[in-house]
Amino acid sequence: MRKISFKYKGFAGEILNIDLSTENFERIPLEATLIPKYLGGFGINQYLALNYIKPRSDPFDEDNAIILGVGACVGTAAPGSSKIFVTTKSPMFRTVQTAAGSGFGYLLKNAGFDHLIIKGKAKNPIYLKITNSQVEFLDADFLWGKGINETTDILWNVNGREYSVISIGPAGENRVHFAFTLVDKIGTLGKGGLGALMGSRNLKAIAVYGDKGIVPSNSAQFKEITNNILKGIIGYAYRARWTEQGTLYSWGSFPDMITLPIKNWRELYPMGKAAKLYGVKKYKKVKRNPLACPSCPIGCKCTLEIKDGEYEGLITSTSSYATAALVSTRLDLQDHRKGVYCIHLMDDYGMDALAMVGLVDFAVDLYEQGIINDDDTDGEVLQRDLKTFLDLADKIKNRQGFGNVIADGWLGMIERVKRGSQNYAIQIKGGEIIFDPRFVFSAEAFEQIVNPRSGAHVVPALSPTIIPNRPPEKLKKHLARMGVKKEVISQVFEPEFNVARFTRYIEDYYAIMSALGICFRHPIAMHYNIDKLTIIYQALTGLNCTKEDLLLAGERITNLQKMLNVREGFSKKDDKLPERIYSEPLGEKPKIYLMDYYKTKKLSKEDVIQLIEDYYRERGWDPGTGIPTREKLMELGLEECLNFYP
Amino acid sequence: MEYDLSRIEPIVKKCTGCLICQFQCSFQYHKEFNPAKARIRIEKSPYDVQSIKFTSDCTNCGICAQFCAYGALKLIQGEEN
Repeated sequence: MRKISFKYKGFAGEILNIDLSTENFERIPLEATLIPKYLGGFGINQYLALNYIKPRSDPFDEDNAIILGVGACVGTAAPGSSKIFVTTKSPMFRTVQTAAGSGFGYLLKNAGFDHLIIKGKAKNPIYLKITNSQVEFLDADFLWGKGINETTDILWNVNGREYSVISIGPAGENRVHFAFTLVDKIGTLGKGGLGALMGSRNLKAIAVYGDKGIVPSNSAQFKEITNNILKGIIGYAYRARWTEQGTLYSWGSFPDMITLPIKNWRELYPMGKAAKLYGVKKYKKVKRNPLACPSCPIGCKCTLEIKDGEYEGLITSTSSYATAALVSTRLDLQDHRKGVYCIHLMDDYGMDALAMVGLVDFAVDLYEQGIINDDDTDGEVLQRDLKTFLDLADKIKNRQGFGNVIADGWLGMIERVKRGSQNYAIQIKGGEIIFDPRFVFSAEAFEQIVNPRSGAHVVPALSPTIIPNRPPEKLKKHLARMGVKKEVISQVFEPEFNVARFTRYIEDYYAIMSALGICFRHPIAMHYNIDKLTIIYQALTGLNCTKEDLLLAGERITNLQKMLNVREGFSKKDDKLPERIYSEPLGEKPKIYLMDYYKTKKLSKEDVIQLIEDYYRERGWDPGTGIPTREKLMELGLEECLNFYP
Repeated sequence: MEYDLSRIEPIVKKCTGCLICQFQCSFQYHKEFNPAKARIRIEKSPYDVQSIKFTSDCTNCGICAQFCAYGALKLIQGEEN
């Protein structure tokens, strides 16, 4: 067994750099200077993107590196520390962006690698097998065309269940722009088209196993603080409910914060009806058992089993039953089992069910408005129903007929259809919005405007503003636990609460959480704060650092992510809400218009532009261009980015 | 050699596969986080956890049960080795 010595503990200390074209690989030492600057995982990914992603390349260019990073705490007992991140230029969003997932990472780190960099294209379908230091490029001809479930099962049968497997399905093979991957058949990873990028490189799957072990710098201190956090989570009053309800928790506990837009974001599905048809009671009927990511005491994932009806006998695992419920409302399926069948099929095809249902809803709207007709749809009548969804899903995954148009995602579809179709699309930078700002203009809703991947953003994760009308004291307390200074907190609330300025601090804090690989779901994240993260990071790595150092690193990571996209040509012109958010209310009774977070006044387009400029100013960016100033880059030690200005 | 212990009763259907027990065990006895060195083994099937086993050098210390969040490891008290 090969163990390397690295200045900082808690890391494997090496990057595995893979060239699929030549089927060669090299082990690159992780630079020790990166640790204090970028912390790990999500952060170091941004630095690697700076050097390994060819600027302004087509996403399908072989030089568009796929960079996978493991959070610094991954592989330890720090609760909820299993996050992995993939940074690449996305065919869906066309930005250099980062996807988050879980699983896989602790075994990659135990195999001896903190990051994977994948370039080139294999001549024939292959899969990568990593067993500690051994890297194999193995034939995957026999897997090509198979769904993710069968592919993963075969690779477990061949190699052993102890391996963790990232696999693509047929949608990835056929370069569907919202083709993702699944980790171990359950954890979604890369809805911006990671599956399509792997497929375009003839890379069907990656299997990893390692047993090298991870040793903290100060074991006693690390154990004490992480065990205390674990005990806190185990004792958390609502933990059992989280395990029981998973991602449907908010449906059961906060139904007032749920927004279920239907008919291409024009109307709202009645929450009472949704709860009755697809809610917690229905979930319990199909839930077989909860499943958890490595080191997680919450267990919000699950195995589902349909015990009766048309799909009797179907067993599938999912990271989110809530996705099945959302698909059910968008298509008005009237039967939760149909929703489960839909997400099972999308998972097996390897494409994102939420993007899929949003795009189908958009296509039906264009059809109903007469923008497209039977000539465009191969004669198929488009409706919001199961038949249309399944027919289109099949055509999309195979890129047949009209499916070939939708397979290019929001931006590609708008470009192909033309005819003013962009005016009907509720999307930002090629991604469907998840948080409708008309419902509540939260930090999550605002962040969709300024981040590189719209509603699919990795940070800022979740803040108290996701619930409407939270008292200012709660929001101030949240900022304080993230390490924001008192005087700065006051500024965020003067003369009134400013969601844009608030968002800046949420982003930087969750950049730290992501660099450390810690989950941002509420029952996990609420048990951490900046002081605990600092102690954990010190104890793990041996780095002598303060919370101010971590906060500065969080800001640096966010700024570097921004500059990677400035290099791609993105600026203020791309940070905008869809026009319909301003011109149309959401729902009929009542009509919900775009308002500020506390719903004291209606917001115009000019008001939102002002908020966006407030966000830029809070970050020390140029409010006229939306780009970090030279002074800000120098302050953060990002001199490498000084030549990225347009 | 593997055998089932009487003092720690595994309840497989409650196990979520989080591996907290393996992280805790390996850290306790090897001072490193390494599920491969744990004396408790969570074996997974394609969709669930298939079995929970203990290696022959397990000391019944109960640290796995102490930190199990899901009630999948029941510490049976009152029996002497």
